[in-house]
Amino acid sequence: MNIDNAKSQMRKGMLEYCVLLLLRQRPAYASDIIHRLKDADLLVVEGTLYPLLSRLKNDGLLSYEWQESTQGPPRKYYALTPEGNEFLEGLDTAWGEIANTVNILKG
Amino acid sequence: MKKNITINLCGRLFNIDEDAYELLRHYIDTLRSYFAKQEGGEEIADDIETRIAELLEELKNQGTEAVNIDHIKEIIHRIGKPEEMDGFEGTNDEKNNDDGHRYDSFQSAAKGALNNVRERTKGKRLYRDPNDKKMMGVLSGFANYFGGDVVWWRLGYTALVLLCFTISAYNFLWFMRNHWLYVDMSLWGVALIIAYVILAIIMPVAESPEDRLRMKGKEVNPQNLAEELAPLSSPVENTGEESSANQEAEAPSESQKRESKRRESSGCISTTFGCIGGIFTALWTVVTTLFRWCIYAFGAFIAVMCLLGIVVLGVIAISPENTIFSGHYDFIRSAEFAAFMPSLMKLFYLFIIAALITLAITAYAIIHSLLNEFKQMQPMPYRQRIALLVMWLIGFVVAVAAAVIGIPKFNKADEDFYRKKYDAYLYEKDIHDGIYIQPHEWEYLHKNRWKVVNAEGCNDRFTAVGEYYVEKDRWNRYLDCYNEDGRQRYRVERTDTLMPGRYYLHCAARANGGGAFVYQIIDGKKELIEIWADGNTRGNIFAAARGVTDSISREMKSEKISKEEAQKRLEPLRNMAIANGGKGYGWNRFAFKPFVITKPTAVSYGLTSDYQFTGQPFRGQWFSACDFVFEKLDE
Repeated sequence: MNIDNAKSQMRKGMLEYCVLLLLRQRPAYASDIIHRLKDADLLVVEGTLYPLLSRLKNDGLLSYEWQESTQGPPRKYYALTPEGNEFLEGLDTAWGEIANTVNILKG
Repeated sequence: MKKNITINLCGRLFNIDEDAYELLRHYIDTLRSYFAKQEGGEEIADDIETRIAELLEELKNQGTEAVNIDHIKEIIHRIGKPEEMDGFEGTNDEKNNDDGHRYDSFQSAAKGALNNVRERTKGKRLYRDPNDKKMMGVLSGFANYFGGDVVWWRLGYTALVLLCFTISAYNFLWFMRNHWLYVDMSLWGVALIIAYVILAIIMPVAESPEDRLRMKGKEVNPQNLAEELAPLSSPVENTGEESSANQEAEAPSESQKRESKRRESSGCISTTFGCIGGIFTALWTVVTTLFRWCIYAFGAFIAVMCLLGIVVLGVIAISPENTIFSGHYDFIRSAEFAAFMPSLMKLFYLFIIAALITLAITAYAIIHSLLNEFKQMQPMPYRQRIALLVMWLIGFVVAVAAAVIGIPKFNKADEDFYRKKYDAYLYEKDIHDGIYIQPHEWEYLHKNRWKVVNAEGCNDRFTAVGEYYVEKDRWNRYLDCYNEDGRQRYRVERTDTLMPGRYYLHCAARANGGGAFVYQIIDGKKELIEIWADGNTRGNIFAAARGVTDSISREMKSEKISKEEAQKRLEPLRNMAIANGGKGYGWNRFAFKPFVITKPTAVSYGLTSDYQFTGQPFRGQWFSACDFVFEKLDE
C-alpha cells in the first residue's frame, strides 16, 4: 500500500507538467489527453484531468476553442497559450534540476 | 426484463435501464454538488458530463443498444469519484472510517462500558434501519448505533420478552395465589413490547442515503454517498431472475431494500440455527408478520379513536351547555354558577385545547408511521419528532391537570347548589302557617287535627315517642316539648264541635316542673289545669293500675278468686302497671269540669306553657300530654 501511495504522489506532481508537455506537442481534445496519459500510466482516474484543465485555463496557461464534430455535439479543443509556453519552459528547467539531483542521489 | 428509458446527455440520446439511470443521475448530481464549491466548478462538471456522453457513444458504436448498470458502474470507475479527482487516493479515508464503530464486540463494552459506548456512538444518530428490519427496524437501528451484530440484539430482546411471559405463566400454573408476582412479570413483558412500539414511533427511519450514512456514523460527503448507493445495486445481479421480476414495477431502492432484507434475514437466522433454519425462518416470518399486523391494526384503532375524540371534543367545545353540562340545567343558569364560571370555563377550554393537541399528535404520529410502512413518505426528521413528543407531553399533562382540578370543583359547586336548593325546598314545604314542623311530626299533628299555635322556644319539636303509659304501646306518639331552660312557649290546640249534651274532657299529661297546663275553652271561657310535676316516673295512672293489680294478685293468692278470674281482670291494667319496668312514666290523668251545651258548640282544648296564655312561667324543662277525650254524660 505504501508504495502505491508514494507513486500516486509522484504522479500527482507530474501530471500538470505532462499535460502541458502534451499540449506543446500539439493541441488536443480532452479525450486524447486522457488516452495518452493512460498509456503512460500517469492517469488512473479520468476525472482527475478536468479540474486540472479548468485550473490551467483559469490561470491563463491554456485556452480552448469549440470544434464541431460529425459524431455529435461540439468538443473543446485545448492548446497552450504563450503564457503557457513560458510557464512550461520554466517547468522544463525545474524538471532538469530535479532529475539531476535525483540522479546524483541515486548514485 | 427491465424498464428502459431514453435520456438526453449533452444533446445525445441514449437508451438506458432505469436502475442504471438512477445510478448515473445520482453520480452526476454528486459531482455537480461537489464542484459547485469551486471556482468554475460548473464548467468542470459540464466537461465530465461530456466525457460520460462520449463514453456512452462509444458503447453505442460498439453495438450496445441499451446501457445497463454495469456500464454505468464501469464509467464511474473510469472517471472516478470526486475525492479521487483531486489526486487523493481513497485508501486513507477508508482507514479513517473503519475505526471499529461497527465491529466492537460486547466483550469490549464490558470494560469501561460507558466510554466505549460514547466512543462508538460518536457522530451517529439513532435511526431505524429500513434495509434490515424484521418488524420496524428498531433493533437493527440500535445495532447500527451501539454496535454489535443485530442478531444478538434481536435474540436478547426476544429472550427477555419470552422470559417475562414464561415466568408469569409458570407462576400462574404453580403459584396461583401469588398474584402479585404473576402480574408483575407479564407487566414487564408487556412493558417491553410497548417500549418497542414507542421507540418505533420516536425513532425516525433512515430513508435517504444521507440518513443511512448518519445512522452508520459516516460523514456525509459525495464519496460516501456514491459508495452508499453502489453496494445496494450488487444484490440485484446476485439474485438474477427473481429480482428482475420485482424490479419492473418498483423504484430501484424499494426492490433493493427487499433483496437485502431477504439476503440478510435468511443469512442471520439460517447460519445460527443450522438445518432447521429454514423452518424457523418461515415460522419467524409468520410470527413477526402477524405481530406487525396486530400492531398496525391496534395503531389504526387508536388513531381512529383519537380522531373520534377530536370530533367529540369539538362538539363539546362548541356547545358545552347542551353536552356535558346538560344534566345540570338549573345550576348552569344560576347566579352561583355565573360567579363561579369564569375560572371554570378557563380551565375547561384549557382542557379542550390540551386534549385536542394530544389527540391530534397521537393520531398524526400513528397515521404517519402507518403510511410510512406502506407507502414511501417523507420521513419525519429528528427535530420534528422531538418537538411533537414534547408538545404531546405538555398537552397530556395540562389536560389531565385541568380535568383533575376542574371536575371536582364543578361537582362540589353543583352539589352545594342543589343541596341548598333541596334544603330550601325541604324547608319550604315543611313550613305550616309560618312554623317549621318536621314531616313525621306534621303527619301526626295534622292527622289528629292538632294545630301548633305557638312554637317559640320549642326547638322545632312538638311531639315525642317512647314513654307512653301503656307498655305495649310504648311507641305511641304524644304531644311533648323540651327546652333546657324551660323557655318554651308551646301551645298546641284542637277544636271539636260537640252536639248538645253533657260532657267532660279528660286527658293524660305529665311534666317535670310547674307551669305547664292543659286547658279547655268553651264559649270564650278558659279553664286551665296545671299538670302535676311528677317527672317521668310514677303518676296516678300508673299508681291506680298498680294498686288494682296488687289487690287482684292478693285476692288470687288468698284464693278469693280463681286464677282465670284474676287474669281476666288483670289484663287491661297489666300494661300500665309494668310501664317503665314497673316504675311508670309519670303520667297523670286530668279531668275538666263537666259542662252542658244546648246547641252545637265548638270546644277548643290543648296543652301549653305559654305564660302569656297561662299567666305563669314554666318552671321545668319538659311536659307531655295525650289522649284528650270527651266523655258524654247521661242527662
